[in-house]
Amino acid sequence: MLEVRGLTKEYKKFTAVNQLSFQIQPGEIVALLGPNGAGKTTALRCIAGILRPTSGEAIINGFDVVQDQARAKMGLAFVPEVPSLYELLTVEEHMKFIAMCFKTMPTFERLKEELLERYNLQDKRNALVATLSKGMRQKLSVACALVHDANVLLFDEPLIGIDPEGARELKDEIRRARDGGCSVLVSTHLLDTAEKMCDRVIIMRRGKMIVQGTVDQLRSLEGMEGKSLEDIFLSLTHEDKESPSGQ
Amino acid sequence: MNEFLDSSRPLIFLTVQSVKNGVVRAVTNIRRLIGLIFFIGYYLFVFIRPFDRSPSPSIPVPGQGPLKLPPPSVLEPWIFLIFAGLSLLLSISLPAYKSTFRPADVDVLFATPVSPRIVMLWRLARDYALTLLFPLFFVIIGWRGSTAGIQALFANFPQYGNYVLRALSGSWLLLALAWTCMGYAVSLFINRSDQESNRNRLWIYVFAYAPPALALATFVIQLRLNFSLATATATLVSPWLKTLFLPATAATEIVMAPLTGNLLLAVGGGTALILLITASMRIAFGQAGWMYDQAAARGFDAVEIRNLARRGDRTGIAAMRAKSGQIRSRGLSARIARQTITGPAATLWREAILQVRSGIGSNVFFALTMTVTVGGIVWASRGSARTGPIIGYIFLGSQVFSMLLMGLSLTQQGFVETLRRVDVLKPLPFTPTKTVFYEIVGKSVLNPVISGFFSLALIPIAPRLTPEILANFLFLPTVSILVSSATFLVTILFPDIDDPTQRGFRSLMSMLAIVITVAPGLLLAAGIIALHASVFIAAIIGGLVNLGIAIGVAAIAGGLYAHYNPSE
Repeated sequence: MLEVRGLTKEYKKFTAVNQLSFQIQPGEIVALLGPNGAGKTTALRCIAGILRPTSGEAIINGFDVVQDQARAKMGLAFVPEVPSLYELLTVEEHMKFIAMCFKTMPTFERLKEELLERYNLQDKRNALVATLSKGMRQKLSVACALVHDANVLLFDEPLIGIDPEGARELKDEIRRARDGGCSVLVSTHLLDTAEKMCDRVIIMRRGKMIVQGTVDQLRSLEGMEGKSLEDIFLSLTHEDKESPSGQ
Repeated sequence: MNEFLDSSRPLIFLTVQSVKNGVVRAVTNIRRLIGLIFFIGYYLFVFIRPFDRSPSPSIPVPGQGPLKLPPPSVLEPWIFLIFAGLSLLLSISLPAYKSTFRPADVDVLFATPVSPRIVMLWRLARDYALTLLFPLFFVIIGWRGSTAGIQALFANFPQYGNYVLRALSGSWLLLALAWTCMGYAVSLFINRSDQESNRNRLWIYVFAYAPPALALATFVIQLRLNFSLATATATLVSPWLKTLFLPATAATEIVMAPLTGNLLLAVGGGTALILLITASMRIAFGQAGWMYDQAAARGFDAVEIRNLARRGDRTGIAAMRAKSGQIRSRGLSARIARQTITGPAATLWREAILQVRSGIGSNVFFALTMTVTVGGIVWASRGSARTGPIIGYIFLGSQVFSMLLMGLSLTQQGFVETLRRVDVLKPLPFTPTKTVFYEIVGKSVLNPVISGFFSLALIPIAPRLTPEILANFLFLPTVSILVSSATFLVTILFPDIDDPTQRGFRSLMSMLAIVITVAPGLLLAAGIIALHASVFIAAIIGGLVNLGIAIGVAAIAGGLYAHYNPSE
């Protein structure tokens, strides 16, 4: 389970994330939406323990990601938007490195073969990461995230750069994770996908959460009746509009 | 301990596999193999060559006549000076952000449960190893001289010499560790993303740089009062200087113990350094959580800037700095931008704006440093009759040297940029020769202006340098034009801007071309000065020779540029 309470991240005088609070229950997929610069990636990086929040907390399976970093991260997997990987490791070595970090070597050999097959990486197992295409890197990044037994998954724009087959596979993977009891947070610009795949959405603008709820709950907001998620999103994030109170 | 080893295992795996795969990759690709051979050859040349010669007969060796070991009172200040110098060099990078993380560390390693303290420990160990190598580089380069010198120094006291060398190594091990740990403690403290960082940074700058500045100023004042070696030596052992450079003092006490027999001071020095290391480590590890934050917030930019610098993309670097708010379109550049210049001279207008926005800072700093150094020497030695004309030569030499370095730094990447923007420049309604001419002039104006501006400030403190300072206004612009022409010629001869092997080769060739083209005018001017003729005559004749060569070189470069096709 993931719980975020009053998360704030400031860079000098600029507030990238402002008092963000939400919960994701086990078996739930939540989409994090917002225009460019809304603070989605910063929020995800704070939750993943990469950036240090200025205030507030991110609790993963009951452990604070700042105070109890190691235990919190044991249950967490993070897939960045444009994955920067270790160029001089092979695909297999990269996965092994992650398994070593998470101390899941006993199950690694079995899981590795499964993931390599699932993401069509078998032929590339001995290829250096430096030689992989963008799509292959994205697949490897996802495979690495699944190498350990995480139950909180964070995806930052996971479908960018992946071919349609890979995208379908990844969406199925995310749903499988949800069905397996994981809490999944997906940051995306693909509103159709968010509408179809996610149980709930959070919309951010200028670092603040302006609304959260199911798509049906958003439709019940004043003036949003019968609208698609895309229309609701554009109405709420348009710079001229005042944000309604979130649910 | 088990936990430490367990957590370190992935990091060892990552390092070993990356190195192994890197070597395999290098030897299986012909272009990379050439680069590797060049790299190994260079280091073999640098490191092996010094061993491949018999000792010079001019340096005394053990057993060849008595040599008087300097007494501890003479030896101590010079050992202190070495440690203080090393401390000063290491302190320069103290507040800098430790940009040793790669984007992959941020995206992959930081999201794993490996403790930031363990990651920091490994980084610290790696930086410590690199810091230890720092003086070794100089020792190996000068191996023949340094070994003979050290042997000679302790020729009559082999038993002491042995201890002193051990103490020297031990104290450097401690001093290097102290500076490495202090570097982490300070860097993590002042490079945070919170607002307190700015205030902290100010205090750290004051604490880190005020002591050396104060020490240097007092040293110069003492020398001015009495310009002699005895004064320099006495100043180096003064209590205030020892206090200002406490780590260097502690290291010196360890080295001096075998000679002075004062073991108590050595223990005191060692204890002080160990305390400093412990305290710095404690502070650094206490901030380990901020390490990831800083790397994630700044790491990508640092890596990107490094890559752009490798490619010679000055505009790209400036664009990155502009993106982060470090460069703004206001101030001097905005005032220049408001002017209107038409025709090919608009190239000068564009160049002035770009240089003010991107490349002026380091050259201004360099020119200022050179002027302050020469000014300090002139000011300190005013009372000494021995230094007479030497000061004039030092000034002239330093000015030409600055012009060469500043010119090289500005033009080398600047002309790569000219080739990179060929699609913008060639459609302009000028002949290629004119384009090249204005490009060369555009990159030759700023450096003599900066250098001349600072050298004018020397006139009040060194009126006797006035002829040299004024003569330089005639000579330096021609050197600057020559440096630009020579660099442009080399750039157009080796135009593959993205090939890393050609990049290094181009730098070497640029330096060679500059030396060859600048030498005739410079030697002629030096010869005229040596004949006791006026420096103005030397500057005019030397300058005319420079201009003649520059025009010839620029004409050749213009012809090549006319046929330059980036896609070939």
